[in-house]
Amino acid sequence: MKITGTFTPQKTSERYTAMLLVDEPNQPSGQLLLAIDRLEPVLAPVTITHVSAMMAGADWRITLAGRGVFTLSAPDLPESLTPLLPKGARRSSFVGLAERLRWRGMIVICMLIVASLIGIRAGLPAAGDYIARFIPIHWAKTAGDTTLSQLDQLFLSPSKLSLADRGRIDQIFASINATLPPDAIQPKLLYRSAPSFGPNAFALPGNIVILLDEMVEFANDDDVIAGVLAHEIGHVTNRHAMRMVARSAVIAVSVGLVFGIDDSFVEEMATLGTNLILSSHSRKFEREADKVSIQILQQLGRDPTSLLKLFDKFAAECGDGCNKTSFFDSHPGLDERRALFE
Amino acid sequence: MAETPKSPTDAVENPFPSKARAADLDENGYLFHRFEPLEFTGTAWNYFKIYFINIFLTLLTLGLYVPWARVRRRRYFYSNTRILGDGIDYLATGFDLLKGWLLVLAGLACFYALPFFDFGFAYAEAIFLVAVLFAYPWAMNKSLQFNARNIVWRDVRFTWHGSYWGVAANLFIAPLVGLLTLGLLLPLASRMMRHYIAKNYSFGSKRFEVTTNLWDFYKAGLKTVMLCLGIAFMIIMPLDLIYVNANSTLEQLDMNSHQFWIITIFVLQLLIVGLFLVTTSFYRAQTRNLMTNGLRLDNNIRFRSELSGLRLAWIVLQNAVLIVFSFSLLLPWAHVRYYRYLTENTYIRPYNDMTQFVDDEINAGHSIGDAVSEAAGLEIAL
Repeated sequence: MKITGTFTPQKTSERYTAMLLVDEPNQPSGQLLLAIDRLEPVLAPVTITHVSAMMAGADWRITLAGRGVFTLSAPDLPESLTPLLPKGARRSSFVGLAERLRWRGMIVICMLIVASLIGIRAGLPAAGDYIARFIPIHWAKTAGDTTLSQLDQLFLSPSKLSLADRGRIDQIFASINATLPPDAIQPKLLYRSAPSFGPNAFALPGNIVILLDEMVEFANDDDVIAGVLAHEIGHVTNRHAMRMVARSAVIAVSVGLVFGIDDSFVEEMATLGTNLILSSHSRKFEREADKVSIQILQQLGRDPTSLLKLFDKFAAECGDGCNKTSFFDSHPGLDERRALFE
Repeated sequence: MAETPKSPTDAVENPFPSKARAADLDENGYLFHRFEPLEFTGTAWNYFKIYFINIFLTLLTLGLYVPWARVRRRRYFYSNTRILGDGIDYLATGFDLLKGWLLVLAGLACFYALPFFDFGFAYAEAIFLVAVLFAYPWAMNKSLQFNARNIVWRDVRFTWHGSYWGVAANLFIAPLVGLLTLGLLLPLASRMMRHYIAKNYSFGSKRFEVTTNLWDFYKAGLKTVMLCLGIAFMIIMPLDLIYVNANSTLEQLDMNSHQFWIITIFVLQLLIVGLFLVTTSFYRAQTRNLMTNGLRLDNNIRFRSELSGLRLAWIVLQNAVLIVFSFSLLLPWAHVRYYRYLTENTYIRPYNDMTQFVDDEINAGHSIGDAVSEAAGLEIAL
């Protein structure tokens, strides 16, 4: 059999029409001959040391020991070459064959991909939470301390609350802590001020709760403050901060793996999408914290609906837009939060 | 009974009768002294299959397949790019890229684990990021070196001759300075970047050379600015009208103001992204033309690039819209379309049959730089 192609002597850019001869009349079996047009010697025995992997549309590069490269333009390597290929080189590969699937096969592949992505999306929270469980407590504490020192540097100033106010609020906090199971780690309360944040309170990893002066002023009611603190402690006891970190890490890694092969543009789009996913997880955590807040307030004998007063105050400032939940918000809309209390 | 042949090849008939060499025509019948376009023989459908099999196998192997996926993607584009009929090939294997990939994964894991350890000072993450920033020129340089040695045409490979400081100065600091001077020095920076890339590649032992005029880069910049202003004007005018008549628009659309502003801001962001894509593609097409037209190899081999900035911008914009609306299902099609436009508008004018090149024996090195560059999204757009 004569296999027509081109030949390039090794490490040069020369190009000759050539043929590989195998199983020709009078040719011993197992011998491969290379015939080159206009280059001496015209006929020579060769051995194949390497064949490029199968690739749609591309030529086959067949490396001949000590001579050069024979290039063949064909969709498949001829059968007769198979016994002459080096060990380990295959005429076709699993991936190469897979890439030759017709459209039906591709639809199956696409469905499998979509199914895997849905599975990943569904398994994300579980995977993130599982990882979060393994994070040692002192690591979480370090993370919390680091975050706090960064916040202190950038946004937070020392609190200006009076000692009397602080004493009172400390007592409220202690009473909430008393409702926690005895083996739970006691959260710590810190006071700060941050006019740029407005009325707010947040929970950091390492069981830290931060209460802003602006929130104390805005709420102006011990029951409401108790509700806010209970809500934040809800975040602490359910390890929301660590779980969010773990979940966002899992998402980031998954996106990086799936889309990192190709365009970084796609990766950026996917990252934007992951923010939507994380926001939905965040809303879920806020709902959980609201529920914890109701429970704790009931246990303390305070008015469990005190947070409703806070929501009304927010609504007065914020207008109708804050009542609805949108995909972009980290907290559920006020209407939804109110509904929990009924 | 057959006679014993005197040599292994005596018995087999010589398939090539001798004939006189035709003057001035090389094997494929290309005439010298004429610009020949590069060809791209790939199709969107073939790449689509490769792309999705890549994703599938990556998911199946939880990411371990990525090095092989990258190799297949690169091989597809390179080996379907034909210069004077012969395809380029990419010779790195998945195993070559695996080391770099594993190191990048380990680096990412370290980065995520950083906040959990007490180093005695805050901002460990910031220091890590700054260290990574300093590593970028190294990664880019190593990546160019590795990939050049793995790209072969007719058994001669390319070589990259750059250095850390050269890459840092020309590919990172120069564009940064260009941006910081509000674009005044950007054409100069573009020229420096293009020149640095062109002058530091060689094919075999012959270096590329490039000659361009700085003023041409500034003309390209001015054209881009005018295009940008023109489009911005077309966008801002309608938005202004909406803003000024906000109340009546709200009633007509039956929305409250909060939702309205969210949508407006979202649309505005989209338009700005669109404008950015159009402007950068337009400018990139111009500078690429300038560089390619001034490129020479072995003194007499010339190149030409005839990209239309507007056409490229339009392709990029359409691609972006299609990718977003198809949730990146159409990404393979978009990628092939873009690459085909670039390839088919690039020309080479050989002055002989291009047989004078000889490969030099330079090692490709490791693939860590390549993996870091991919992870960081660094790329040289040619």
